Amino acid sequence: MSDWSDPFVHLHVASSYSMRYGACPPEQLAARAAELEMGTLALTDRDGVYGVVKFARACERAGVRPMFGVDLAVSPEEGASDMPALAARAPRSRTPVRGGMEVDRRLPRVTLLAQDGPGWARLCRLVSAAHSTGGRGTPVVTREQVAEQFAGHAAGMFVLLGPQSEVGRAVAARRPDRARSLLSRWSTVIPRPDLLVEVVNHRGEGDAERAAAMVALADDAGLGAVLANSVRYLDRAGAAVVDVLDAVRRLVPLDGRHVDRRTAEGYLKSSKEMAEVAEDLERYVGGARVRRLLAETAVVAQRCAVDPRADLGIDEIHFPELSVTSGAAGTAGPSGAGSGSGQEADADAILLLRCEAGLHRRGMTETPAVRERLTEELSVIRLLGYPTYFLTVAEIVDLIRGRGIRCAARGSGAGSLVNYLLGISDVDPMRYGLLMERFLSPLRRELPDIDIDVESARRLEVYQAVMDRFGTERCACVSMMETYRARHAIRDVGAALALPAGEVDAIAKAFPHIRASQVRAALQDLPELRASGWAEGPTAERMAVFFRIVEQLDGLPRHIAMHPCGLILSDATLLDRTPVEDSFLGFPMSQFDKDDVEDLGLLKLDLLGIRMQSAIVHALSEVERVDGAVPDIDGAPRDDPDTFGLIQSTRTLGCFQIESPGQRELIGKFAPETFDDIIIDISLFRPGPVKSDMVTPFLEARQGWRMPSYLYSGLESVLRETGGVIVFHEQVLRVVSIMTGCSLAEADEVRRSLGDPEGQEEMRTWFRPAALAQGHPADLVERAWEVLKAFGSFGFCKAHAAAFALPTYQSAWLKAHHPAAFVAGVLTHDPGMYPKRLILDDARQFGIAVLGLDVNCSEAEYRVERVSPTEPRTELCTAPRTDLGSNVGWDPGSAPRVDAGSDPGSDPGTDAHCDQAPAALPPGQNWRTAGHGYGVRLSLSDVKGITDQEVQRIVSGRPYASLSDFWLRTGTSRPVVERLVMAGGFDSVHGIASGRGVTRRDLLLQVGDLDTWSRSAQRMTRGRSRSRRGGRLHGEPPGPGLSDMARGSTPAPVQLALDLGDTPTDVLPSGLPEMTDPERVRAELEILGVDASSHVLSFDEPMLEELGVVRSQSLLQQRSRAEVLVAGVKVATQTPPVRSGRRVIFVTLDDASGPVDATFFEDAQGEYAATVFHSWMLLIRGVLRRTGPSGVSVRATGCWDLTVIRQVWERGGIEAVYRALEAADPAEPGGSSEAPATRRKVLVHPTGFRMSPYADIRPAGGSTTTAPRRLWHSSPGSAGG
Amino acid sequence: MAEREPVAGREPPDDTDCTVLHADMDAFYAGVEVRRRPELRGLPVIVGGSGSRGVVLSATYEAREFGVRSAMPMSRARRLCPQAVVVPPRMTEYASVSANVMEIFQSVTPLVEPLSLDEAFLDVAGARRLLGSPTAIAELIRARVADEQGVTCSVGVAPVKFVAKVASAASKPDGLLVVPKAEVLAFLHPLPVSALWGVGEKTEQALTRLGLHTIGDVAAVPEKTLRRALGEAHGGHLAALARGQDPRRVVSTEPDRSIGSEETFERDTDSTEAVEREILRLSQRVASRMRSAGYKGRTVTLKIRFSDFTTVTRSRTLAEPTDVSRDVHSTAIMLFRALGLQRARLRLVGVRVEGLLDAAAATHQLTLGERDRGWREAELAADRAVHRFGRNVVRPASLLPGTETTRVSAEGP
Repeated sequence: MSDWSDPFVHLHVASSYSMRYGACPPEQLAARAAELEMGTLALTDRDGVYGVVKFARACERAGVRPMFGVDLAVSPEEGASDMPALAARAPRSRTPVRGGMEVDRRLPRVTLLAQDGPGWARLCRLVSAAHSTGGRGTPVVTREQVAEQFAGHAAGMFVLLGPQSEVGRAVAARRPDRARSLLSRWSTVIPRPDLLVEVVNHRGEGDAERAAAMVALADDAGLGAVLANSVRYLDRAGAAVVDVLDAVRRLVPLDGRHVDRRTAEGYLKSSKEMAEVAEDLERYVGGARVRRLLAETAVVAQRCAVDPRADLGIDEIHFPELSVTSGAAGTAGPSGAGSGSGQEADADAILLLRCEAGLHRRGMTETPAVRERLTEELSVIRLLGYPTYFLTVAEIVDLIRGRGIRCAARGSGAGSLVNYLLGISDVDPMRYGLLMERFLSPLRRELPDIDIDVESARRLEVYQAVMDRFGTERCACVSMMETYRARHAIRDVGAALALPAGEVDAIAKAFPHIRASQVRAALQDLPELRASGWAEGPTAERMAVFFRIVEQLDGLPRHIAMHPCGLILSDATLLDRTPVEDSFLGFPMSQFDKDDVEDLGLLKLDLLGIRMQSAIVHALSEVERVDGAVPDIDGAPRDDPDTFGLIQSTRTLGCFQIESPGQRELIGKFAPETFDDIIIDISLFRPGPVKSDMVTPFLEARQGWRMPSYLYSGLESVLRETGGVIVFHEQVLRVVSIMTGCSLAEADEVRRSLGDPEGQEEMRTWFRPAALAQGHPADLVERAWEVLKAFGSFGFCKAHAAAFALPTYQSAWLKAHHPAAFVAGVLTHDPGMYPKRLILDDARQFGIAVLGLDVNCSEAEYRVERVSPTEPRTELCTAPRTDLGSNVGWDPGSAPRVDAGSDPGSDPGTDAHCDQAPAALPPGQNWRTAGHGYGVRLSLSDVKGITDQEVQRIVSGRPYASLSDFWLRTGTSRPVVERLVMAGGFDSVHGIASGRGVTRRDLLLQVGDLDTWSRSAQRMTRGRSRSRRGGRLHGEPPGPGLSDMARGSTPAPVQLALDLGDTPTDVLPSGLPEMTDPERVRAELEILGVDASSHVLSFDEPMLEELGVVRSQSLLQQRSRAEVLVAGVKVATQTPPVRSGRRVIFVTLDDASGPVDATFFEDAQGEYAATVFHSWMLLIRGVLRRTGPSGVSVRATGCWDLTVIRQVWERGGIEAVYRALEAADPAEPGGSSEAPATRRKVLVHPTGFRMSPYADIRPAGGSTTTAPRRLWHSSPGSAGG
Repeated sequence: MAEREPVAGREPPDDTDCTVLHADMDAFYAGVEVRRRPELRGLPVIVGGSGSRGVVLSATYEAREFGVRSAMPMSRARRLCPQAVVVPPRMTEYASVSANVMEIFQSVTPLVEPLSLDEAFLDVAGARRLLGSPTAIAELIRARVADEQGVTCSVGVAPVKFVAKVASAASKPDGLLVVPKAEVLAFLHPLPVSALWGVGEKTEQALTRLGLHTIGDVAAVPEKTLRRALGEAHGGHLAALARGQDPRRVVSTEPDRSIGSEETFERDTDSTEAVEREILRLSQRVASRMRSAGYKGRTVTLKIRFSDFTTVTRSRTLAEPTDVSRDVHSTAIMLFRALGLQRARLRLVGVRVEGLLDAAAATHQLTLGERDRGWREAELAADRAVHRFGRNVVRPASLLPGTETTRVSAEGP
């Protein structure tokens, strides 16, 4: 039936989606199969079907028929432990003295292959079962679970027992008796034709004998046998990679003992090579039997006929049933089990009804335009068959709003009137000229994207609500595959090669966040890495091997995680089409990623948690708590002068989307005046427009320096809003439509094609004749085409920008009217790009007091407190601090000074100040004083190491009369109490600031005494109550149930006789010095991550003065091209794309008087890049450049770690510092760091824009948003060390 | 490294009560190597395991300029100072130089308290009449060590041990510092707290947190406060030291009697088999050395250092003293297995036997039915064979070639 020349079919193939096991992506496997002229190929990944959709797509492209299966772990049979070689290594009873339990139990495995649609559905459910039985990360099925699928009917699955099955291992252990009995257990539960013995011969020592024994075993049992190759890699070269993967998976060093393979034969062999493999067996079982083995393999392959479309459901669409979607909507109940078309008609009717209701609810006048638009949108929706989709999304939005959670639609969905009427989006598309075609087009049969933004803090609550509403049989989270990039690959390979942990860490951190395949290129390209010396010296050879392996891991999946925002919804058959496993947070998670899910036609809803929404909610609740009324932020007029006054001042730190240095520069020049301006601003500040320099012509037209050019009058209506510059996708659509007379839907197809060169060329050949045919003159057509081409794929969807503009406006509105509450919200939910310390600093500029940590006042969140207007000066603000606004468009002279006394007109105590500006201030300037009389209290949650339970106990047990009272009643752990003391949490309790003679150090000793006392008290009662330390309140007397009762909200303040001080007066001065100001700031940074009491730089003043360091506020007065020294805390490091294609490092320092921007061009990077990336406080030498009328930047020529310079200064004075600065200069400037220009790699964008491959990549080193924990001990340039 | 106190040129310091000397060899191992190879003089020289795995045991001051420090991984040291000459250690050589130096000390006073191979306290109170002032004695020692052994040492001269030790450190390299009784406090108080004897990283942190940065700060705080902060004993001890008081006398003691041996693996290993094989080799070596030195011991200690340099030791005391490899081995293996290590990567393993007695004095209780001539006799026979034919003639089968792991060796006394 089959002869030797027939193509072989690989039935057991692991792709890279077998995490840390397979080395080859499914696409390459499919392509290789086609090359080898194999018409069929199976994919049987370990523990899941993660790669199935990509495999099916790749097979489609390659012309290969796919087979689908899975390789699952099976829990070993009872009694397996008597054969250590068989099953898992016998679990050791003892916990190792030092962590490091073995992580891979090496369970036996079986392979399942789906024969048909129902078989695939069962396979999916079995995979889900494996994950739910085995627990997260260790999926395993039992034989019984497999058998269940076969109970009473054909299951549509083959079960293959190969060398890794228990049967196979028994054969390998030369225990044929046991192999037979194990096999017979399987054959009693699996029907004979579906149970197969898998024969594998990797041609190692004894492999052929074992394979032959497997054949004999099958014959004995009367079972079929198939030949497979247990493929893990594409070709022999991949064998080294799987060795590393074995080591990485088991978290052990690379060593023969830990590696599974013995030969390099487990690759996708050709038919001829497999014939040779089979031939090996002839010696043992005879030629006829071998031929039968191959024939059986081919038959099995033929019987696996799962169709990617009909059976997997690719390109089908599966909405939730209408009965589910509209069940709770209270509309006329359609027949739940109605036929497809009946359901569709019902859904359509319901949708129309809801839209009609929406017209009234939104208060829209039914103009013909509105009516026409609605009819058109509904007809497209009907045509595409999506009414249920919209109803489902509307249902979910209702569900979210019903729980009082803020939510907003974003993305192109905001362009749809239907979405607006259903309440999904809050932006009126008619008013802002948004188009539906960008969102939904009859020309595209793909599901539209509706993204819903919700409060980040309640995102999981939303997930849970949706799951509850639709049921986990219809709903799951989307997963995402994290793949190896440089840093992870370096860490894992480093561990496998047993490099010292510290060294691995240093190497990993020295690289920017690039792809793993780029590490050796980066070693060549980046001066700081060239300087590291890894490529030369005694270790060069070892490191070369190391980096080569690192590159081989590039892009391999390493970990599956829950996608941060995707939910899929389907009908009750969802789990037939996707296996689910538990995410880290316990939500069911599909094994498919967002692209797969789209291919499978599952309704995907992006529910994105937006921190700003949570910040807004927190701010609103703080306003209500402190001032008594919730401002109506959603109803606030969108032309508020104060809000725009604030925006124009560029003091927008913390505001959504407009806080970055670049954005503040842009709004400084742009000066937005209306909500539409904000939409334009957000759209302009994108890489595309910035790269293609669309900003300048826009600003020139906007400022009236240049007449806008509209190409021709017919386009004026389209381009007027943006001064003749194309900013929005919507404008592209309209321009194309007007020029060629095509429909908007067709125009959107044109827009999509502009993204790549081929598409551009194609469109050009279509556009010119089409436009000429409309009667436009040739030169206009040419110019219009040039504009469209230049626009490329850059512009921005206006609907998306409009949706974004709303939280932008609202956050600015809050900052203008309730700055203290706004800051509290921002600090609590951390939505922005800046470190908290900078936000706090900004708050001070607004006259808001920063109130220190206080166990009697601080809570889990940042709180607003009313303070007397003079308080900010006395409370904490010791160092005079000035504005940290933008360096552009900000005039230092007009900066508001924190001086409430000079501002008698403002009364922050009333709500009226939100609406009406006091007479003293011009309209739109009220924001400058809105924060006076308020303070922001630091939160307990920021204390390092504090637990949520501790915070909760502290808050509920207030007030505390003393440290010992606190100790006894809260049960807070000693290190946390000590940190609270050091950060000043007990200052007010013990009157430390008032100079009663007690110091924080005295309290620290008291904590020690209390701890000693508690321990001895516990020891005394240990006999009766052996409770865990830390699990009980300090000093709490033992007693049944008391410790449970006492914890949490009702601590039982049982005071034992305490011979130590238990009242504040008993804390005795111990003679220890009080903390100095620098010590306080240092403690604050280490404990809270913020320098609350004064700027961290203020203690370096004498040195900076002596060095002649120029401060931010005086930089403007320096003459251009002067050499200057600047210093400060690094708040941002960016390597943005620049036109030259070189890597440029932009650094922003905060020097307590404002921001300082410095730029490192390539010639200055060699010696200094490592310092820039790895130090937190910097001293930078450079040449002053003027970037505009009120902007300056420093072109850096040198850079040093300020903490190191401080040490030098302390030891050797100013002369030593000068010597150190000189010593750092290379003998020949730029000599060693120059990279030959020819070698520089450049990425070329379709539009011709060139950029460095290291642009826009998160740079080396740690994050700038958090202060290093051990600031004063950090060593410089540790990356190389 | 502080500047050397100029001894000459001004009023000689009053060393009347300064009877305690602390003599400390300068970069000892490296000094010995430079002595052997004079062409290395003035160059950065590092003594340590030569592979990429070793640690720095000693470095010349030229190498220290580049930031090279003792106990630093060799790979880091090489990166800091690529031009350094790396010399593998020759412990026997250092031990013999050390013995000669100690002999010089002994010739000055019998009250010599060696702290390690390269440093010792001397009490010269009784030697003054014969040899002159403590300062003169210190100079004498320095001159003799330099002349006779070709290496330099620094000496601190002070009224008490702790101050002498701080003084010798302050005078390094090749220096002499006398701290007269009256100037003890002035000398100590500006120094950082870490200079206090017994203040490690942890105590230093605790003191810094209390705002105590210098010894003077510590001295200014009431002793009661220190006791509260650091515990009765430790706090009291530091308070006394900060006042320049150190009640400890110089006592001539012999180092703890134990024999041990340890191995650093060529690369960190998680292989139980490799570790157990190494334990066997070490046990044999230790027991063999005990037998040749005529000792028996009762306590077997196993030392394990993990790849991150954290170390655990486990020990077990036997019912009676032994010098039999098999006993040492089985005890060490038992201790190792009790750790239950699974994936932990080991850097070093060591076996040591403590509580040594003269073999002749050790009692042996016969147990019923014990074979007369047992393992001990077999091993003694093997010792004799080794003595005659060399190290490789007799060894357990599991240590046959092919199972060999390359090692960097650092052996104890």
